[in-house]
Amino acid sequence: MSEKLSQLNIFSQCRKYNVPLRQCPQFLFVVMGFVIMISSSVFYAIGENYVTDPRIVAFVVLAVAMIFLIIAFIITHSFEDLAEANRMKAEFVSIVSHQLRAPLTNLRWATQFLLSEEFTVANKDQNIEYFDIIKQNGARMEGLIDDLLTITRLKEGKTDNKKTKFSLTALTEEIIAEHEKAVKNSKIKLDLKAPEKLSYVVASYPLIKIVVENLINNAIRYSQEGEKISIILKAFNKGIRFEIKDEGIGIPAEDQKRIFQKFFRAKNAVRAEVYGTGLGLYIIKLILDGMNGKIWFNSKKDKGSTFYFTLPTA
Amino acid sequence: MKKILFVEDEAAIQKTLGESLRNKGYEVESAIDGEMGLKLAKSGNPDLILLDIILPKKNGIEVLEGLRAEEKTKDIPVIILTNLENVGEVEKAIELGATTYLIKANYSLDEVIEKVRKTLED
Repeated sequence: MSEKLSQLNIFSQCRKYNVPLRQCPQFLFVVMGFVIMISSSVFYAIGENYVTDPRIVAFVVLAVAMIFLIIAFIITHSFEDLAEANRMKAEFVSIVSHQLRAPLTNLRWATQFLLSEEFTVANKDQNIEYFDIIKQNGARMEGLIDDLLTITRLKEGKTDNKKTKFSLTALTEEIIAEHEKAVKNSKIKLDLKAPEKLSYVVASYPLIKIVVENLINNAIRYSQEGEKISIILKAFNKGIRFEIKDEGIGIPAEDQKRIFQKFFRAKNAVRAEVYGTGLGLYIIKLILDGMNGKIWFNSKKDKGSTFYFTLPTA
Repeated sequence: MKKILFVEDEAAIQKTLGESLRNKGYEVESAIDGEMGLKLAKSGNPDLILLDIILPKKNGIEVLEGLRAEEKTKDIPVIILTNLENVGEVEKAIELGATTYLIKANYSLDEVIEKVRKTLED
């Protein structure tokens, strides 16, 4: 009974859906009900006492019908939004659980192997290999959780987004140095070209670090031995343009539209390199949108991709 | 000695399950992508194939289709081993004659080895 009564409390019902009041179907239905009741009474009073010309009544009824139509449209639309939000939530849970499951299985099986009867502690090298599996997969899970937390914080405006002036060249050099080993291992050539005197950008240093890191990471991961990655920084309108060009697998034309969507990964990326959360470019776009920056790209399947982003200097 | 072809791109899974199967006395041949898996299935005459679904070059379903199309490989029992819990893919794999479909996260190493043993006995 109390559950039935609580359903009459539209405010708590709307809070449950986590949508603003103006998009909450229950609230809009109540508004529509009130509008119908009030307008019927008003028409009755006006028609009875003042109106002699029936055309005026017809006109007023038409106007009110239009209002109902608009409210009904908003209601249907808000139902669609709710359904979409629901669908995305289900998809989110399914993707996240799949992405967490793979490293979890690796962790579990590696420890089960280390604990098995057949495992001989005498073989030290083999021992290390299994501990390495545990270490790597722990890091993989950490990476996914970090990405998800970054997204939540960005959406809620809880990130360190204090803007400061800094050199994008120095930041890029720092990240290249951090990736030196990965570049060397995959036998890729990576070079940076930036004019000596380049203005400082105005943005959040830690957030732009994520952007540059993700773009360099992507370029390395989707390139093959012997290929080249070039980064060019230059002045652009009232800001700086960062350009990163690779000769990797590229993005198929049919996938380009969706490349900045959450969890989306191009088909050839899934085929070439199975790891990857599909969150990197989504995070980059989210950050740049909040820093008055822009991101775009040119890409051709099997020929490579060039990603560009701009940041203001003042 | 029974021979198992293990088609799996995750190095960690190749190591743990592959090594465990070897320790149980099976001969294990590894393939890290779908194309290599299909090639080794044709040349190596395995008694059983352990097959992942998300694979580079050719996915598990394509490999299964390739296996079923060839006289030499069409009767080899296949255990699908994946973390992809997608009803469509499960149905397709079973339709193509996969013996069973195991979600990695739901099984321990010993349980997978037991399934392998039973499938080979049958």
